Amino acid sequence: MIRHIRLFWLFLKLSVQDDAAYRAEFWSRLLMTLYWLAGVAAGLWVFFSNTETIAGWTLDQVIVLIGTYHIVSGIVRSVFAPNFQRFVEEVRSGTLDFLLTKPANGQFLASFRRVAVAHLGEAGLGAAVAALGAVRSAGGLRILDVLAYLAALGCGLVILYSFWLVMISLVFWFVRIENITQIFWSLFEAGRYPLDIYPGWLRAVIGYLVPVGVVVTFPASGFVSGLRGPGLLAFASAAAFALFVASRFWRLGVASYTSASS
Amino acid sequence: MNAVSRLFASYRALFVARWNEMLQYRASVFIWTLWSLAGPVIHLSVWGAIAEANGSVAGWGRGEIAAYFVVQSIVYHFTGAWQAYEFGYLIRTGTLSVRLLKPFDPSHHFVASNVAFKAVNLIWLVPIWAGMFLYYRPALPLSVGRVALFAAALAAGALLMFLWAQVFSMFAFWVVRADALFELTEALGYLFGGGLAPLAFLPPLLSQIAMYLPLYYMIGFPIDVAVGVATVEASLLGIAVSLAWSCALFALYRVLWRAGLKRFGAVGA
Amino acid sequence: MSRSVCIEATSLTKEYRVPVREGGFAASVRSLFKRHYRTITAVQDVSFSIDHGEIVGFLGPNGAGKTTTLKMLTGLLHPTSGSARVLGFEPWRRESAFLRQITLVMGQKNQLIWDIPAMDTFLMNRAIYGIPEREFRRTLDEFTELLDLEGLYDKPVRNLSLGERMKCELVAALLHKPRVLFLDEPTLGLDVTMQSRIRQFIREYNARFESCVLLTSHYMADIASLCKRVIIIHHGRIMFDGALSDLVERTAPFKLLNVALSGPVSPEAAAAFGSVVSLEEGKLVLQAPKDEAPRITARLLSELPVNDLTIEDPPVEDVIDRVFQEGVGRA
Repeated sequence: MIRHIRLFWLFLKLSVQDDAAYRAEFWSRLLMTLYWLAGVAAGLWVFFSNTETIAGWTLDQVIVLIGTYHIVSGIVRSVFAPNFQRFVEEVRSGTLDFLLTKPANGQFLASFRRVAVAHLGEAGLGAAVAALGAVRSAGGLRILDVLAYLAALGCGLVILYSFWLVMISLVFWFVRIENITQIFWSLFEAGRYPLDIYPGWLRAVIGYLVPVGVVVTFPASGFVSGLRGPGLLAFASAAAFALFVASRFWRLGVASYTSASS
Repeated sequence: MNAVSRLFASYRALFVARWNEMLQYRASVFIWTLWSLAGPVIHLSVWGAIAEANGSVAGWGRGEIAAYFVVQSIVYHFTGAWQAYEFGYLIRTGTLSVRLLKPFDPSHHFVASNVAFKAVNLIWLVPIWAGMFLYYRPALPLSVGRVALFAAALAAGALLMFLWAQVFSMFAFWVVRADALFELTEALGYLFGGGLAPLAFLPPLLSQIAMYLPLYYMIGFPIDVAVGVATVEASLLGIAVSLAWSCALFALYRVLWRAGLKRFGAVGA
Repeated sequence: MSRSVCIEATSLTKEYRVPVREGGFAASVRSLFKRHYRTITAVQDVSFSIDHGEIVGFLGPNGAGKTTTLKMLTGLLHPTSGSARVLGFEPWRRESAFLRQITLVMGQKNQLIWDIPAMDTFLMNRAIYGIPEREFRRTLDEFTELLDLEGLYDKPVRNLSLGERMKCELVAALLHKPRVLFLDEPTLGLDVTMQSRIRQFIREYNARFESCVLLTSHYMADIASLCKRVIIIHHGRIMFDGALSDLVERTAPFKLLNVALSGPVSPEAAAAFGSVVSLEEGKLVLQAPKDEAPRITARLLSELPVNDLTIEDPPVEDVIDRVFQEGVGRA
């Protein structure tokens, strides 16, 4: 475990060096993040100058939702997506064996090798925004609420990670599949707003099939309707189950790949 | 063959080649287009929910809101331009050099790809749009005159957007991430141009700023023409303004192109 | 046909300012705020002149300045100082009349659109260059026959083998019958038969259309087979410009004697005849100065157990390598 943490720190450092080499890109990404913050504020301004609530969520609660959305988005963009991209390239060019023969766990490497540091900023700012909304809506932060939120968020991220792991594993069989991430992103966009605005069938798709809605809305709903123990427990078990299934799927993929190329 | 007929013949051959190319990529193209529908559909849902909770938004009911965003998906499709995301890549991979060796402006390829992409997508977009019309029942004042005005506003908007993207493409000669700069303007267009919401929903300060930016004429203005927010006079005036913006941007693009070539010749890729 | 000057380079020089990049974490962060530059001279004072009908080899190790010079001659780069004229035009003015008469084929850079048949790209070029239909068909048929490309034009380019693709690239590059050909590693990555085919094609094209060719290649077979004249560039400067045979003469004025032995020969005995390149069971390779080669050969035949003996020129690669390391040698 310690080794994995140290490896992750090393990847982080290397990724910063990699990114920092492109000055303009780094600054422009930073600028973009601030720009985005202004955009979020402007968007909220536009919505809430026309209404008091969106699907029953007040302004502060929507702020928490948006913050949560960007935490998740930042993590997906900085960790899941770049590694998926790299993985597809390696399968395509046949250099995957290099990865699979390294001493560290193959699944860990494939998932966390590359960290696009610039996007972590989005997650950080998302956290700040979510905190702001939480403070505003509750008049202060109760430690229990924060813990419940973090637990729900953590489970949500595990579920999302499992989903991405399944997508990565699919590449073992369908090499030209990178477009599938487009579908993810379009559905993910919908997670920006409270799920209740969508008709039932769409809600089911983004709630459970591509679990974007659940990952974002569930933790944020803690500040709307409160997160109870049983709900959290159910969520956590779903997360564990999802991770288990996804890991097995990955191993299936590795087995099929190594048997095919030998 | 004189220069004009050579240009026509070149465009015809270029368009055929790019059309065939798009067909080869139809799976990715299809998925990409589905993704671009997500925005209008999501915003339709949000504003629709707000309208239901409050009765209406700025006087617009569900029907009008549906009309705005369904038309928005049509406008987004026809006015899209993305060469700003490719130009830097062309420079770095040396593909621009290959094109520069021909007696043919490399930007013609962008025009052909742009039109070919939009044409190929119509194959599945027309039924999808028909489906959206049936499902959302938008309140649209359809008449021959209005459709003609809409077509003109749409064409002007598409031209404007293309030239806007051209200007930002040229920045790639100096800035590695010119595509990021362009992305910033897409975000601006989203807010000020009628993407997030019709201009009528914006707080007065924002809608005032919006009127001065060319971005409105790429997105919001054609939609406003179609849904009847813009009167006939306002529509014609808007089309004129849009074309004026296009002329200015074209001049700027040519200046930047010449300067960019000089820089390219000085520093290489 | 008039033998007029096709390509004329006069004191071409190209300098670049590049940012200095250091490794390590701290340096990366520092580079975010301030950058340092240094000047690199890619090409220094390069002058030469090439006539119609010539095929000239342009040689140099990687980074010597070959590609930079080619880019200046085609107008992609502006020289820092000096001038060039190709067919009387200044390349970087990119006049249409100029561009219609040249072509630059770079081994790794493709102009064929990847996912569609080569014919689509050919038709595009036909329209762009304004080639009349009849002439287009005739030229295409000629090239098809010369390069054996029957039936390959209708498959998507990505489905062609590397050799087939390179040949189609050549067709696309020459459809407009340019009079000046800049070929940068045109046979890179191809098998031996294909290389030979393309060399033959270039020779025939040049003869038929009175063009001039400036060719870079790492394959000495290309150079030896096509180029009577070579220009050698190293560290951005011209080291040699003249006949290939002359270069061999000046740099490596010796012969290689390959002796097939029928009996054992000791190293000392072998060394008595000249400098030994290699001595194995049954085979001896000697290097001898050119003038002495006949005399040494006679001695070898009479004093050693010889089955067979051949006399060869040193391989061109070795000659070129020597030039890079030691310079051109005395005239």
